[in-house]
Order: sequence, then structure tokens, then C-alpha cells
Amino acid sequence: MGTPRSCAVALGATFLLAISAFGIPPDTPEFTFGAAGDFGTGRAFKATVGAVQQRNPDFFIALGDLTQSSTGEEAWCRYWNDHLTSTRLLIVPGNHDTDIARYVRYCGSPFQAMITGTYPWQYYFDYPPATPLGRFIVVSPSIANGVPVVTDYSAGTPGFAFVANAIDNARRSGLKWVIVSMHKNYIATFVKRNEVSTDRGRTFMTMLLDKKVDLILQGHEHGYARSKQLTTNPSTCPVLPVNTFNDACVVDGDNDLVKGAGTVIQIISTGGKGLRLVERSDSEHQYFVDNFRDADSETWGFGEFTVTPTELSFSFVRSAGQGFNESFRIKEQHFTEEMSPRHRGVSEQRE
Amino acid sequence: MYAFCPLRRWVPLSLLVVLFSGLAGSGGGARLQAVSPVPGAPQEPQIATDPGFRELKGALLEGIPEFPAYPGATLIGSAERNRPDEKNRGYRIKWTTVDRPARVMAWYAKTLPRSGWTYVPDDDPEEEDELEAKIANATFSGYLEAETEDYPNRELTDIVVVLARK
Repeated sequence: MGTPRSCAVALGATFLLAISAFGIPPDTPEFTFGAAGDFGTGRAFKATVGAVQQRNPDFFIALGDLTQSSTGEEAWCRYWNDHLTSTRLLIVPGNHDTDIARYVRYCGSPFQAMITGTYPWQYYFDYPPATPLGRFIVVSPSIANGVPVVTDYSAGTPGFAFVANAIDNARRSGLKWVIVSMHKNYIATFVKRNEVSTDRGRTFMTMLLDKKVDLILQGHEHGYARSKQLTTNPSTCPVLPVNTFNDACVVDGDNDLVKGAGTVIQIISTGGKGLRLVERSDSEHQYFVDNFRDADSETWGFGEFTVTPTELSFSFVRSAGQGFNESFRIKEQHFTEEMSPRHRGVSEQRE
Repeated sequence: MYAFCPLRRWVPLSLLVVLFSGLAGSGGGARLQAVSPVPGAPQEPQIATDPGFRELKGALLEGIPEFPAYPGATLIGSAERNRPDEKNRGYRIKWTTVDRPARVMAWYAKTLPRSGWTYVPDDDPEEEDELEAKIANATFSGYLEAETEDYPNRELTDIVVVLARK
């Protein structure tokens, strides 16, 4: 017969055993989310929805250009709603989503109690709700389709302040990860130009890189591209330049990245629309990991992220086509004197 | 306050005209098309071509295969997808037009097969703003797309052709 005291001792011992065996408390929060953009309504879109259904992430961020049809919002949302098991679908407005309010009406507005800002144009939420690990910020730079917020995010605008404050507040609150999503691109390696940070000082993107947000997710370009880990620094990369390449802005280009050292910009426009060929003739191509081949332009799917307190890992989940594989991780690491100056660049953050 | 400069739209246009004049004078080995002014041309190039790759603004590079130009479209430029010392990987060409993507693609669907190209549209008949098709001939395969874009003073349709050598 166990007494209450012996029971408590047994529970405590089990807890300690779990920590020693796995290195983490047994109730450590961990979650998954998915992301992709540029869907349409064709076969590849349906395959991508099927892949999301199968993987069943906690939520999915649709990175804009949802159907590009002026009448298809209801059918598009119904297809998602009919196939998702428990995944919540969040929307980022794209330039071709001419009536985004209809998507909200038919797709719904998840996480309403958790959202700060104006869904779906400019908002953020923390996840998981009970013990948040990450702050997810959604913005709409240069989206002009009847958007009720100012979509110029240059310094001094309400959007700039909203994002800067959301990041600073997340850091102060001890949130481990900050992830910013938008539809349009800043640097790209297909056919698009900078449409995100268009003032002369590129102040919006400079702010995001100065603050070392962990990840920026985008759609717009039809294809997949993951930037190397990038950062600004006052001496050799005060601004990440577009239409050219500055090697001094690159922290790390492999698949094992150090948290806090910089920002990864990830274009995941593989939701269903026809895919473009990577342009290696684009100067900005050198900012990206060169792994999406011409043959991969028949590969669709979505990005799946697994988030823990110490690691954010990514893998590309194919829904149609074959051949393309991609994974990387950003891992917390304590800086030591032996680490490269580039990794230690985290301490050079502009104040 | 460059963003509010009333002449800002004409700066890139002037550069385009000057560049075209130079190309027309030199010949440049390119098959030139008539270049008309580009109303509201973007403030930055659509693709930031690496200086190590050949690009011509307002003209077609020598070597680009015969490809029908959409009637009345403005040729923005063309570029090689390889450095001069590398194997030919193909080309990209860009035009703009005031016509809607559906009209552009309907014209190409009719015209390309007559010119020796296959044309296979994306399987998404409801799309309106951004239409794509896979295209190929004996030497090249690639894609054609027509997409509405918000230029500073009005909406135009970008026509982009990307060809990869087989």
C-alpha cells in the first residue's frame, strides 16, 4: 500500500528519471506547422492539401495567392475545410487575392482569441497557447487589394512600428522563436524583384535583419528557395542589398544553423501553381542555397517545421513530383571564444 | 523624398530609351523589336541580372529561337541563363502588355503550335490573374506565363518566357 508521501516520491523520481534519460522535462512543448503559397485549384493544389492532411501539422500558414480566381474563394476554402483533420488554416494575403474578406468568411478565422492586430492583413499570435515558444507575425507589404491597413512598411509607418514592437515584446517575453510571414519577396532567384522594402534605406527588411528574426516566410515567386542565414552588421553589411550580392551579409550557408546568428528567408511557393525555373543569372541567387534544380520545377509540396525550445527544424514534404529533398535546422548553441567570428556576429547586433 | 518626385517614372524610361538608341546604332548582333515607351516601368529591374550574364534591355539576344511576340506588347529585355563561357542553358524574355492574361494566353495557345512549339496550359481553368503553360520545341523546353502586375501608375500584364536548352 503506498502512502501519499511514497507516491509523491515515486512521481518525483519518475520526473527526474525522465529528465536524465531524455534531457528535457516530459511536458516540454513541441509543435509542428506547415507553410506554402501560390495554390490555384488544380491537381497540384489538391495534392498539397492531401499532404497537409496526412502530416496533420498544428496549423498551416497559406502564404498568399490562394486561388487567383475572382469567384473561387468558397470552393477553395471548402476544399481545405473538407480535408483538414485538426490543422488550423491561417491566411496571408497575396497580390492576386482580390477579395480576401471572402476567404476569411469561407475559410474561417482561427486563433481569434490569441490574435493581436487585424486578421488576416497584419497580426501576430504566440504558440502554443499554454506555454508559447514562438511568435508568428503576418504582414502585407505592397498588397493593394482593399487592405484596411497601410501596407507601406517603411520606417515611421504604423506597420513598421507594429512589427518592431511585436519582435521586441516577444524577446522581452522570453519567446524563443520569431517568425515573420508575408506574400511578396525582397530578394529572389526566379523572376521577381524587391517589392517588400522599397524605400531607399530598405528600412523594413533592415529592421527585421537587425533584430535577427529567425525566419521570414514568403510566397509570390513560384518555386522553392531558402536563403543562407543572413545578417546585417554596421561595418560591412549595414543593409542587405538587392540586385547585387554582398558576401559580408552571409553568416552560414549549410544546413545546420546557429540560432540567433541571423535570419533565413524562405520562399515556399510550391502549393500548386506552375513552377518557374531558378535563375542563376540573377545576382541575388548567391544569397540562396543552390538546391532547387530545373528538374524540380515539377515538384510541389509544403514546408513542415518542428519547433522545440532549442531547435527549429524544417523538411520539405512533397505532394507531387519527385526528386527534390530539402531539410535544415536552426539550433540553439552557446557561443564560445572558439566559434567563428561570423557566428559570433550575433554580438555585433546594431542597437 | 524620391518617392514623391514627379519625374521618377521617367528616369528609368529615359535610361531605356538611351540604351535602346545605343543598341540600335551598334546593331549588337541582336534582332531588334520596336520598343515603345513603358508607362510606369518598375523602379528596379524585374530580374537583377548578374553582370557576368549577358542581358539586353529592349531587345532579343542573338541565339534566341524564333518565338512569336504578342501583338502590341513592349519588349522589356532578354537574357542568357548561363555565363558566356558556360554551356548554353537557355534564355528568358519579358514583355508587358495592357491586355489581360487570358487574352494573351489564348493568343499563344493558337499561335505557338503553328510555330513549331507545343503548348500545355496549367490545369487550372478558373485562374484569371496569373496563367502558365509549359512550352517546348525540338531544342528547348520551358514555360510561358502571363501575370497581372501593379506598376506604379496602372496594372499591366507581364509576359515571361523562360527557355531551357534540352
